[in-house]
Order: sequence, then C-alpha cells, then structure tokens
Amino acid sequence: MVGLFLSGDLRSIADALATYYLKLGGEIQTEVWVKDRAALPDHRLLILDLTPKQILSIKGLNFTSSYERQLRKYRQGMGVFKVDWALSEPTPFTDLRARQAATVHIGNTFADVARAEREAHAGKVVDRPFVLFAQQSLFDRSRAPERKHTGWAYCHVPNGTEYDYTDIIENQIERFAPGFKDTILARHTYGPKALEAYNPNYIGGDINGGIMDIGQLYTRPTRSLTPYRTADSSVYICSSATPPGGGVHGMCGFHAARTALKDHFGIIINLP
Amino acid sequence: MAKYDAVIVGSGPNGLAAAITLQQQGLSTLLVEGSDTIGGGLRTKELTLSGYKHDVCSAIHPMAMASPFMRSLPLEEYGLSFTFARYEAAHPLLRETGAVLSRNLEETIQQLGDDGKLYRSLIQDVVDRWEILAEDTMGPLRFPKDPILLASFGWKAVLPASWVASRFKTERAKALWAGMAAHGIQPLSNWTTSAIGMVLMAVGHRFGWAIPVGGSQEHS
Ligand SMILES: Cc1cc2nc3c(=O)[nH]c(=O)nc-3n(C[C@H](O)[C@H](O)[C@@H](O)COP(=O)(O)OP(=O)(O)OC[C@H]3O[C@@H](n4cnc5c(N)ncnc54)[C@H](O)[C@@H]3O)c2cc1C
Ligand SMILES: Cc1cc2nc3c(=O)[nH]c(=O)nc-3n(C[C@H](O)[C@H](O)[C@H](O)COP(=O)(O)OP(=O)(O)OC[C@H]3O[C@@H](n4cnc5c(N)ncnc54)[C@H](O)[C@@H]3O)c2cc1C
Repeated sequence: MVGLFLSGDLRSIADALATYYLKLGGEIQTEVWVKDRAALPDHRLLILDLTPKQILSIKGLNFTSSYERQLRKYRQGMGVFKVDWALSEPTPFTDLRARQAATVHIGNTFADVARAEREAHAGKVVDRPFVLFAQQSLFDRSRAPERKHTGWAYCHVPNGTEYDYTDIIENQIERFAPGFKDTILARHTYGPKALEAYNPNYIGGDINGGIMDIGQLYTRPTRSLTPYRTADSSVYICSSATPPGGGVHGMCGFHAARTALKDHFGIIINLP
Repeated sequence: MAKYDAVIVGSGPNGLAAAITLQQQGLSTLLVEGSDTIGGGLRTKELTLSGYKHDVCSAIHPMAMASPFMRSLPLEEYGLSFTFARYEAAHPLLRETGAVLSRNLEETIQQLGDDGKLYRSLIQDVVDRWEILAEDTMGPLRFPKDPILLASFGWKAVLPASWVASRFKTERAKALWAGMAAHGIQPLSNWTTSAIGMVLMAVGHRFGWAIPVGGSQEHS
C-alpha cells in the first residue's frame, strides 16, 4: 500500500513529508475513499483533511444538528479553470523581465485586474481574466525534455462553471507574449468540475477550501476560536477550511494536531 | 485499546502535517488517502506528453518556506530541494513598463519610483519580523505574542486592496499590488484583501517563492 510514491527521485515536498512521516513510524494507506467512520480500523481520534461539504457526507460522526447547520452555512469561493501546456519554447513575453520570473501575473492594470475579479465573482464569463501563469521548466530543467518547456496557468471563474476557458486564457497570454500559441505542443485542462472529481475537497473548483473573506478568514469552518474542534469530541478538522486557510504551509494540520494533543493527551507543544 | 490513537483522512499538506505532528509525540497513527498517490494539492504528473512534468495543483511555494511548521522539519534530509527564479513574479503591462517582485526588497522598491516609500511602509515590518507575525497570524485567533506588531500589520491587512491601491501613484505599483492581492480569489474591494498581498510580497522578500526541484511531487 505504501511505496507507490517511492519510485521517483525523493525530492518533492509531498514525498519528503511522507518519507519523514514513515521514518517516525507512521503508516499510510492509499486508495481508500472514506465514507463511513465505521469502516476504518479501530481508532481513538479522527482527523479530517476535508472540506465541510464532504465532512457532512461522512457517516458515523456524532455531530449535533446545530453544528451540522453551521457547516452547511460555510461558503465556497470562486473556482479555477486550469490549463497545463507542453511548449516547444520558453514563453515569448514582450517584457523581458517576465521571461526571468517563475510566476507571471497576467491581467494588465489594477483596473483591469479588479474588474476581472469582480465580474468573475459575480458569475460572469470574463474575456480578459486575471491569469496566474507559472513557467517552472525555465528554472528546473527536470520538468521537460531538453530545450522544451512547460506552462501552468489558471484563472478565477464562477464556482462550478462548465464554461471552457481554454481560448480565453490562451488569448490573454498571447496579448503579453505574442507567438505563445505557436509554441503549444499539447495541452491539458481542468475545469472546476474536473478539479472536484480529482479531489473532492475542491468544491466547484474552489482551491482555497472555502472563501477566505472577512467572515471566514479565521472563523473557518465555524465561528469558534478553536475551529479545528467539532461537535464530536473525537473528531477534528485539519484542512484548509480551518485557519490559516489555503496554500501549502501545513499550519492547519499542525494546529489541529496541537489541539487534539492538548485535549486528549494533555500534551502541550509549540513550534521552535 | 484502539489500534490507532488517530486516523487521519486525506494526505494533502495539512493531513501530512497533522499526521507528522501526532506521530512526533509518539502516538500511533494511520494516514488514509482516497487517491492512488499521496499529496493532495502536491502532485506532479505527466498530464500532456511523456517527459513533461506538470504540477496538477500547487506549483510555486511562497508559504512553504514561510511556514513555521515546515521550517521545523528536516525536509532537506529527505530529499527536498528548492530552486528560485531571477524574479519571484513579474507583472507586465501593455502600455508601459511593468513591475517585478524580486527577493531583493531594495531592487523592488527602486523600480517603483515615487511609490517606493509607500511600498516600504507596507512591507518592511512584515519582512523583518515575519517569525513573530507568523505565530500570530498563521493559526487560530488568540492573544497575540506581539500585540503592537500585530496591530500595525492588522490595520493595513484588514483593508480592501482597492483602498491601498488608490494610495499608490504609479500604474506599475498599483498593478503589482493588484496581482498579489488577487491571490485571495475574491473582489479586491473586499475587506482583508490587503492581507494576502502584503504576506505574499513580504515572504517573497524574506524567503523567496520556492520552486521544488522535480515538481511539487517527484513521482514517476
Ligand atoms: C495570512 C494572513 C494574515 C493575517 N494577519 C492578520 C493580523 O495579524 N492581524 C489582523 O488584524 N488581521 C490579519 N489578517 C487579516 C484578517 O482578515 C483580519 O485582521 C481579521 O480581523 C479577520 O478576522 P475575523 O474575520 O475574525 O474578523 P473580525 O475580528 O470579526 O473582524 C473585524 C471586524 O471589524 C470590521 N472591520 C474590519 N476592518 C474595518 C475597518 N477598517 N473599518 C471598519 N470596520 C472594519 C469587520 O467588518 C469585522 O466585522 C490576516 C490575513 C491573512 C490572510
Ligand atoms: C490548480 C491549483 C493551483 C494551486 N496553486 C497553488 C500554489 O501555487 N501555491 C500554493 O501554496 N497553493 C496552491 N494551491 C492550493 C493548495 O494546493 C491547497 O491549499 C492545499 O493543497 C490544501 O491542502 P489540504 O491538506 O488542506 O488539502 P488537499 O491538498 O486538498 O488534500 C486533501 C486530500 O484528501 C484526499 N481526500 C479527499 N476526500 C477524501 C476521502 N473521502 N477519503 C480519503 N481521502 C480523501 C484528497 O485526495 C487529497 O489527497 C493550488 C491549488 C490548485 C487546485
């Protein structure tokens, strides 16, 4: 069951974390989609790296109806539409400094970016969206065959939309990098629905685990100072639907574990 | 006695972090993942052609280096290595010279001309005192370790990004700011959209925006 990820060169964040965890004596089981607590091996605490909609669907959790009501009120944010490209050349940005940046923010002026985000949030199809573009292969040659490149991009779209943004995204990049479209060898797209199918945490393509606005920045997923705790004292939430939210930092997981250690084992831990 | 002290469901960065933290204290734990590979938002796959490795979800890691939890782990010993670009981010403009976010704070400030001073006033404290601020912001709300520092960050962080933008004079600075704040995935007129912009820029100056060599997950 383990070992699946051990085939490559051990270099990445996920593999480094998992290898360290196994070294500590942890166990990993893949290919088990959890739907019912009773189907899991006998355990004392359950820690969920899941977003609220999924948590509500898992059987065997001892939640009060008022807690479930709070989880149901949790709000999702916009989704994303993502495209990956195999490219024959580096992306020919007119701005030469953009050719030396790992991330390129494509959306022109403040007014244009602000309009794109406002309209997408309001449910509209935006012709000239704010595109987050990354070109990792320029800086890490292991990503593509010799002299070839990869491109990675997404834009924010109405949650759950089925509209195909591929052309819109490619046209927007082309405005800042004329000739970009001629370098495309192949592409792969993930719309919001496909992202959710890939990882059921991304409801409607929402990659931050729920909107991170003022009402849900620290009080996520429920209005509590310790929102990692749930109404079932043996169940904790550790996903990006808890503070401090989306992104790869592991701090949600750390704080959920810290809370559980204190509640059930009397162990107090702090980071160095 | 239960077989496991804890079962963790989901092996994204947060599931892995919870599992590691519990295991470090000597608990017996099992991490359960639905997919055939671990990693959640940290997976790299050949999505297009053979030999092209694409980060399925996350690609660039400003917050990994800035995370007190991640920094507490000996991940280099387990094969993790990061690389960096000349610039963390670029924000090109169609009608004039755009802007860049460079690890070098002074270089970033210099290109902003008249707006350099305002940029510094937004960012410098966050850059210099990130460790303390991270403790007070990258977790649940609680009594802050440094209330004055948090307050001086917080009163700016809570503002809509559009308000802060209106204080910049040059299009270049306004645009750079817009692109950073837009990572919050919501209208820039929302409260607290300045927070994500300030944090992304500051950790860029402090730690860089890291690119893991081989992808977010080196998996073949
Ligand atoms: C990584 C990150 C770090 C952050 N760090 C901090 C931080 O250190 N300190 C901090 O304060 N914030 C920080 N924020 C921003 C954060 O959104 C707000 O500061 C915090 O108050 C949000 O908490 P809450 O949603 O529980 O809001 P509450 O505490 O409920 O928010 C404050 C209340 O005041 C109102 N309000 C807020 N600002 C104003 C204003 N200018 N004028 C009128 N009314 C206002 C709001 O509508 C709200 O009702 C951070 C955000 C991120 C993403
Ligand atoms: C397209 C995209 C681009 C992104 N770009 C960046 C970026 O550049 N930088 C950045 O910092 N962040 C980025 N993010 C966000 C980042 O990936 C997430 O915030 C982060 O992965 C959240 O971590 P998590 O541990 O909470 O959950 P996840 O990473 O979502 O992990 C949850 C895990 O649980 C598993 N799971 C779900 N349901 C079940 C179940 N019922 N049973 C068993 N297992 C289950 C899933 O398969 C998954 O492995 C991006 C996300 C996406 C989708």
